[in-house]
Amino acid sequence: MRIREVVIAVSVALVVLLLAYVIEAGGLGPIAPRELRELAASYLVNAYNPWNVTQSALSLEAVTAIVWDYRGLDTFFETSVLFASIVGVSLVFRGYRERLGIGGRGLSEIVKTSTRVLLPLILIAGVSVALHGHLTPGGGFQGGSFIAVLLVLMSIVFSLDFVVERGLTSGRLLALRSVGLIGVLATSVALLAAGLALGVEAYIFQNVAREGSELSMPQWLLDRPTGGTLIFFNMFEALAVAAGLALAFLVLSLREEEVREALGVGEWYE
Amino acid sequence: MGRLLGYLAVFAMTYAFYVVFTGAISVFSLAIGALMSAVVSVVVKPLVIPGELRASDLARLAYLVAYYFYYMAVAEVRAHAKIAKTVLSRRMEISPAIVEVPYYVKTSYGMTLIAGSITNTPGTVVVQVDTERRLFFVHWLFATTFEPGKAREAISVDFERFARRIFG
Repeated sequence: MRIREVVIAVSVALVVLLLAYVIEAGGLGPIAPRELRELAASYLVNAYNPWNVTQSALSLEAVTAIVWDYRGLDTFFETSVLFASIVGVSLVFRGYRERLGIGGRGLSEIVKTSTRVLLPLILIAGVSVALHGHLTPGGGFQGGSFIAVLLVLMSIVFSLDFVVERGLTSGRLLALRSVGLIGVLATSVALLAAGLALGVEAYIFQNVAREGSELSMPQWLLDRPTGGTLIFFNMFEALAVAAGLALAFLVLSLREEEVREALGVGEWYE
Repeated sequence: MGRLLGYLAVFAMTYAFYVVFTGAISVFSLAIGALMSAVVSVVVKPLVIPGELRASDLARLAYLVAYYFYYMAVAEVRAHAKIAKTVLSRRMEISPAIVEVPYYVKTSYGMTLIAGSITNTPGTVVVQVDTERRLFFVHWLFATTFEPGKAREAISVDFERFARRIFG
């Protein structure tokens, strides 16, 4: 037994060592090429480029510029896919009703009290990550995921009853999720709508002035750039993701008493 | 007034955390942080401070600061030194046991502060709390007594003195 363990330990160590050696010696090709490819270089040059606005997203964060501007349409459909999957989750459990008074004591009073202090801090951290998405790493999805942790934490530490009593029902979460998604949609066509109203040319997903269109979202808020549409996208995406993930968690953690009627419907169909 | 003070306290805590977390002091960051902290504190205040605050409660902050320095500079150092000595000695003289430790603070914040302080000093861990009988069950590495009053004397009496001043 001892010998077997020694052999396993040595062979694992050898694998790690040899792999490190192979990578170090360039056996798997260069990890990061020294010179940037043209596409990468153009993104880096143009993500924030006030001298060449028609090519720029005016965002200091290149990743956010790509995600919500250069490939904004793609991200929009990603968000829609997440929405569809959450609709799917609530459809599978259709017919459930949240009920109070089933019980659930949660964790000890010590954990509960510490969690009370943490709630505003987690919430504001998520908001900060979302609203600085165009300046520092992060963004709507990351910030929204922070905020979704709140509901998970509350339902485990206090109980599902506690969450529902405070008005965080699945209906309201679905409404919030829809508000977020409608906000994303509205942001993506805001300049197009303005263009139609003013009778000038504009594009869908237009951020700042583009070739052939002078229209632009506000570029600065106080002393920092907003990335035009990016700050709005991040804001609404955070709302949509927070409500959507929280909703999925809430529905998946429903208790038997709450889904029994829904299951009964299924049996009737059979 | 009492309710407003509660909101202000939650706002101050949230905003201070925001500034440190964000790590930026641009007008943009400070302004949206203030706005969002206000929204957050309105939403969360009933959970964080269920009751009311009085202006005289501000004096408790001074005790909180004093406690921070006492805890970090005295209590922690003392406990760490004892554990380090035990771990490094050739003959470990430990007598692990779970003992009952009563507490007399009234608020759940006070109780949580004591429990956290006990757990965070090496050598003692709160494994369970009985809020009805007001008892901690503490795993104690150097148990010298099973008598609740004496155990409290040895483990948590200093923490509790501060906790009562800070949270009541």
